[in-house]
Formats: sequence, structure tokens, C-alpha cells
Amino acid sequence: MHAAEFIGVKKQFGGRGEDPSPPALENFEVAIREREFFCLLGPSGCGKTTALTLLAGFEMPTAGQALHRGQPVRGPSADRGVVFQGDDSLMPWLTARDNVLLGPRIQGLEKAEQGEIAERLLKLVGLDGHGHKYPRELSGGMKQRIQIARVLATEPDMLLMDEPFAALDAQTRGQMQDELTRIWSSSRRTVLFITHDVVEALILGDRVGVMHAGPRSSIREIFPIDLPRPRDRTDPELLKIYRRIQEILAEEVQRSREG
Amino acid sequence: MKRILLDRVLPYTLTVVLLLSLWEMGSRMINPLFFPPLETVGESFVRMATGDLWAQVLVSLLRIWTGFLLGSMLGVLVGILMGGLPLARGMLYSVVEFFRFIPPIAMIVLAVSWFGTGDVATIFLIVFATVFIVTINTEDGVYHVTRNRVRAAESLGANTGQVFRLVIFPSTLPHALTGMRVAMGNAFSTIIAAEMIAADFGLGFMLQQARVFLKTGDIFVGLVALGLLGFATDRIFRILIDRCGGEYARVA
Repeated sequence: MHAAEFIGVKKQFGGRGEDPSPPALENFEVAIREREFFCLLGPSGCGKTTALTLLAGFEMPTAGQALHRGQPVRGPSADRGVVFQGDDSLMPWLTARDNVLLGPRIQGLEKAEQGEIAERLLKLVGLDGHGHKYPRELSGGMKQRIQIARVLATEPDMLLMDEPFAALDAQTRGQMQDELTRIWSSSRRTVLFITHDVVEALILGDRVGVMHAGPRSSIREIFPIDLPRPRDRTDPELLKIYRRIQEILAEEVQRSREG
Repeated sequence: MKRILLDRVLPYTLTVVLLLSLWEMGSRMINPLFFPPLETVGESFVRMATGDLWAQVLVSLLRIWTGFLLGSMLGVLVGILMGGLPLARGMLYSVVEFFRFIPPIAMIVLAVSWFGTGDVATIFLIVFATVFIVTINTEDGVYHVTRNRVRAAESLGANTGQVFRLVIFPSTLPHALTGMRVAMGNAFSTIIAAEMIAADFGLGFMLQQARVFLKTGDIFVGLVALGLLGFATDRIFRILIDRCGGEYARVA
């Protein structure tokens, strides 16, 4: 059984009566393996994030199915933790520590256990000593670290990450990618990671699924990345795949312009 | 300590001294029956302070706070309902928009004929002065809840009740508190008019009596008391907002 699977998924936005826009996804099919780091890569507007919202249960597919461990996704659940792109999902009235503890509190964990989780996770994401600060007092990178700690606190079966580093400056982004590799290697959960950054996908993923340009987007090709971690951004093997993917993306962008 | 003295205490002191001097000069140029000298006001104050001034103030304050709290709770509840449920909004929007343009003072006549004079009528009017502004601000606050905050809570396992308690209510609170601060101002201006007509005790009644018996000194004591009370209440309110709302709701 796969950790997650999309079968013949179509997703169209806009309800009855409205001018129907073309579907964002059509015949979207991909299977994500147990404990795999899967990167979904594609030009902007290709429906990558749409795929993630279907698996998260925030939206329902118009046709087809999004499956988690063989079961159709019916709504959001703590089984599938989400890391969002921006910082607008953090609670600004809670400290970093309390944001991390949101999940454990929702699940009604004991105080002592909560304290242990907060210490351990803040340390894991390199924020020990910052637990008492409010989000607005933290940098963009630190806020994304809180999101990662928050999602790990409920020990989800699967992590869904929606371009979590896209808004960060290049240097912080590289640092966060290395950190994520380290964190992931220590826990080995299934991850669906959305990105439009080819290098990011190649540094992080076990496999990289490249999408067609939207609308009516689906997977064009899947690249296995059998390189040991942590990976070197200048590894010749990695650069070979990088060039191939860049070609595909250029083609896709060209094709969508010709429409 | 020296800084506080220079920055805060000195300007306040200067203002008070200046105002009192202007007052004294004014009372010498204008008929003291209408503009009594400080001495007369002082005498009024001493007489009233040993009389029922404090009881009058207390009654007015109790009415304000009771009406204010009732109106605020109702406003927050209705505002969240309107922000969250399209049906509730559809039903209540025009009602709120209609009633909020009727000044509470215009409702005094009705309040008296419904409830007679006294606590019920005045508290009703304070509720009326509070509820709509709090409703509108709270409803606006609900629209400021970001979608991703709700989604984040849901994918951490929150049910509808928990989403409300952990995300929607705290997101809305600063907006509701802003509405409540404005409402508190409304409550102060309403209570006086309400008590002049719909009560036989309280600050407003006291002012009315002073006018009838041409005790201008008493009027000034009443006015100064009112200003000080409003100022103090707003301060207390700001401290409360700071305490409850923490970092997020810090008053600008």
C-alpha cells in the first residue's frame, strides 16, 4: 500500500453558475511511497499546491480520488500535517512555544508531556532559547522553523509542505534545506514537498515529480534521485538531472505560452 | 525617576496650573452665578463629598459597567454569528445597520415608557449604546481570520469547537476590544442624558438637580467628576486589553 495516492484526479474551481475556468488538474496520478521524500515540481500556476490541498483535505477533488494509506481523504486530520508557505498560519498571540504546542493541546496531552515535546522540538529546529518570543519578533526562517516544529509535535503520519522556503532569502533557504534534510533523516516520515525551485527539489527529494504547465496539469515525468545525503549542490550527477529538468520546464513554459 | 518627573509630571502640572488660573480669571470677568470662582466650586465639592456624591458616582458607574458588559457580550456573540454564518448575516445585517443610526438618547423616551425610571431603563440604554458598535467591529474581526490559521488548526486535529476557541475567538478579540473602547465612550455620553430623564439618582440626575436649583458650583463638580471617571475608565480598559490580549492586542 502507498502512503498516498492520487487516482484520476480532476480539480475544477468555481461553482455552479459561474463561468467555469478550465480544471487546474486533470488525470493527475501519482503514488507516494512509505517513508519517501517526494518533491512535486512545476512552473508556477501548474496546480502543485492544488494537489497538496486535496491530500490535506482542505478541498475535495471534482473527480477521482486522493488516498491516504488506501483510504479516501475526507477532510483535514492530524495524520497529515501541513507546513504552509507564508507565516499567516502561525497564531500571532501565541509565543513560539505555545504555537508548537497547539497540536498537543488540541489532542489533550498532559502538561508534563507537553513540556517535554516543546523542549525537544524547539531544540530540534534550532530554536531553543527563543520559545518565549512571539512570531513578530522572529525572522522568516525562524517562523518556518516554528511551523516545522508545530507539525512534528503531533507526530503525523505524513508531512505536506507547500513551498515552505519560497519566501526566504537565498542564503536562509539553503540553510533551511540542509536543516530539513537533517530533521527528516532523523525521523524518516513520508513527505510531499511542493516547490518551483529545481535545486531545492534535487537536494531534498528521493523522487522528483515534474508537472506539465497548467491548466489541466498532470505529472509529466518522475526522476529518482539516488544520491546519498547530505547532498552537494555541485555534484555532477545532480547537475545532469538539473539540466534535464530545466529543459523540460522550459518546454512546458513555451508550450503554455503558445497555449 | 528624574526622566518621569520631567516627561510626565511636569507637563501635567503645568496644564493643571494653567487651566486653574484661566478659570480664576474667567470667574472674575463673568457673572459668578454662571461661572463660579474656584473657591465656590471647592465649597460645593466639600459639601457634596461629605454628602452623597460618592453614592451618585457609584450608581452611575455600576449602570455603565453593567450595561457595557451585557452589551459587549451580546455584541461579540452576534458579531461572531454574523461573521461566521451567512444566514445570520443575511438576517441581522439590515437590523444592525438600521438601529445603529438611532442615537441612544432618542431611545430614552421609549425606555422610560417601557421600564419606568431607574436602573433597568438606564442599563437598557447603555446596552443599546454599546451593542451595535461592538457587533460591527467583531464581525469585521471574523473576516480578518486568515484561512491558513483555520486550516493549520484543522490539520492539527482541531474540531469545529476548538477552531472557534483557539483560532477564531482570539483572532477576533482585538477587533472586538477596539469596538468596546469606542462603546465605552458612547456609554459615558449616554448615561448622563439617560439619568437626567430616566432616573432619580446618579451623576446625570445630580447635574440636572444642580441646574434646577442654580447651584453652578455643583454642576462644575459633576462635570469634573465625569471627566476624571471617563479618563480613569479608559486607562483601566487599556490595562485590561494589554493583560488579556497580550502582545497581539496591544493598544496603539
